[in-house]
Amino acid sequence: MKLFAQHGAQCGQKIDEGIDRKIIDGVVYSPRDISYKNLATELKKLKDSQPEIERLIDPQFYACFAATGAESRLGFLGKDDYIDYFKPRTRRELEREASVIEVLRDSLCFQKKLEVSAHIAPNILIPRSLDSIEAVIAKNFIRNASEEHAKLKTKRRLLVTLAIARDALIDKQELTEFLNEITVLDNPPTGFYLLIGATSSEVRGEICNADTLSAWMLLNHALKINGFETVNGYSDIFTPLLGATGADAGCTGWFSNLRTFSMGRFGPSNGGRLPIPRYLSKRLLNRITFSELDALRTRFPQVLNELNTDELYDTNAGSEPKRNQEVFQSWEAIKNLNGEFVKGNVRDSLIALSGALDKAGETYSAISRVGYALDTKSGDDHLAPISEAVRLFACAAEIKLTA
Amino acid sequence: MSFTSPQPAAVARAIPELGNVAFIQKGGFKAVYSGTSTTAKEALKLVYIPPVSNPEIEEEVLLQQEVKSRVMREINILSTLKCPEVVKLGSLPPKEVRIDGQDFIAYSEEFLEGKTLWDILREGGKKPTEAELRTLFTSLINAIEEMRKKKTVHRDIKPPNVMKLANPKRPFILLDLGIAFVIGETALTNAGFPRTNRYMAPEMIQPNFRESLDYRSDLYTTALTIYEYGAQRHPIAGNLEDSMVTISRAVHEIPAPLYKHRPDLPTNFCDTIDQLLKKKPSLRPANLKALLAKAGSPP
Repeated sequence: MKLFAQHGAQCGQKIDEGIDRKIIDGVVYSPRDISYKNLATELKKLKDSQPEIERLIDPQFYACFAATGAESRLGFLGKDDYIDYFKPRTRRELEREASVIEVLRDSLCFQKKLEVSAHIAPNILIPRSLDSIEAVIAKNFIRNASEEHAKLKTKRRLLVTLAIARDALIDKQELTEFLNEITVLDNPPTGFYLLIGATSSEVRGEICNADTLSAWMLLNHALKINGFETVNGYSDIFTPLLGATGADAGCTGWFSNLRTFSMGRFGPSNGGRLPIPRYLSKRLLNRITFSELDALRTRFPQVLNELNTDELYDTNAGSEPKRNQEVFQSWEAIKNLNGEFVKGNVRDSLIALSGALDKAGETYSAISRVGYALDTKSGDDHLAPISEAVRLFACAAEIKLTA
Repeated sequence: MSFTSPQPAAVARAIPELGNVAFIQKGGFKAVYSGTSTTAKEALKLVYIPPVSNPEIEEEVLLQQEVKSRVMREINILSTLKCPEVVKLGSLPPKEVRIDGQDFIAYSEEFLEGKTLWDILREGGKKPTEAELRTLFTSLINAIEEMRKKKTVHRDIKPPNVMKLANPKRPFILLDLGIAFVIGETALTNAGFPRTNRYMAPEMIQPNFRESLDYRSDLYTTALTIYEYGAQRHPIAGNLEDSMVTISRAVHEIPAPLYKHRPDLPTNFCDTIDQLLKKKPSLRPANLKALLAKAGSPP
């Protein structure tokens, strides 16, 4: 399973160094956060120097409804850089299939000019229900994408954006019927770029709950069974979970809004302070603060990953990393977890995952027994929803985990 | 709806186009005979048309209309399917005939010298080889592909509707498109759900199944057929059990992996059949070429 960088603001040298360290396999660029000129330069440079690295652009067309807001933050997306395909739109406009086809054509033609390794077709976000007008529009994007892509006469693969808010995943019957439809297309794309949206990237519980995670896993599993490639945007620590179900790739970045997909990124800013640098522990399946790592690493060495990027958390510096290097540790840890959980078949992968969840629970218990209180975000609240998600997914996918 | 199969002599008088008429079998609302045309031996089908005792009784009128429409639809579908894996129409076009006071629609199909998989299962004996199962799989997938192109779903693929021939060019033939469904056309069934409970795709139980039905239902029943033929046991249904229990099992019960009953078969073949037996259509691989590559006969 591959891991891609989820590009965003203040990229600096992070992507170049991530590639040099061999801890990322590709990049999904964010037009919001890079000018067209720099994007073209970056893509060409990457193609020439590291042609095997996946180079993708998220068209971010789902922000088109937000484009009319006075306080919208579209960055370069709202300027002339991407005007070839990105304009403010209304839902009513996109109810006409002709408008959908026009957007597809413009976006794919735009990407063709750039040195991407595959095209990502645009789509809107399905905000509330998979049985809604937005869902119909989204399916129209999916149905028409391949035909427009074929007109480009390119060998590049086609991934179609499928962006679903977590609220829309609640109804299991709707999800089943939606999947039944998109898995039998007359003219299917190569795959999908999946985005599961929270209302805020700061509220982890919206995504880290059993219903949302199991639905996300089922999406990947059903698409993969039907031969589609799946790239999961903003999947962060859930990347290995999705890989266990057959996903091809996950993405994550260096800010919280690059680790959880939310339309809040394009809306008014809520302010906020710089977060405390953290360490992603494979054993705990969670991030802990650098000071927590410093306090625990001697007595509980199992919280360390024993990977190269551990050196960035020097004990001589109180385990505090340089802020712009934290992402390398995350990438390496997630990539390594992918290797541990993604086995030859889904059942074995889920069993491996369940074993890791048990071990995480034991370690958290051991830490608790010595009386060490972890920060709210560092605790074990995530384990129960992930365990339940595995159970729900196995049930939905009709997989027996026990003999 | 019951009828008496006419005597061959009476049939021969009513249908002079065919000679040497002999009775073969009766089932449901159809009687089957063999007969010879000027060119070949053929299978004569007599489909019983239930009478209307009183035109005021809407149910009887509708039932008669449905039977006639269904026969014509089956014949129309058969006439469009060109692949060798589906039974072919014979020389006798459909016509209404009255024999011994009973009304029928008569038409003919090609006569196939062979046994159905159901007959073979009842006889028992050695389990089919991997090569035979792959050939069966390939034949049924090819038939499904042809029907898919015509927006048709068979809905009744099962061992009694698959015939095994000694002809290497046509090793298995799919029969009986009596409840085949053409996507987008008007539903014909006014009474209940058209299906054989033991071989029913789970989604057929949904009240709105016609809106979402597609060829993946046929993939499910293909997998059921192959599982039963290969393992000599039905993956889900019990014997002599109540039909509601059978339907409940079809909707809820996960069958044992095929590998458990046929450990001699390759894992990827068994996994393919198991995956096609998933309750949700989206979990059944829909790419027919990929399916043939995985579980079909080598090209």
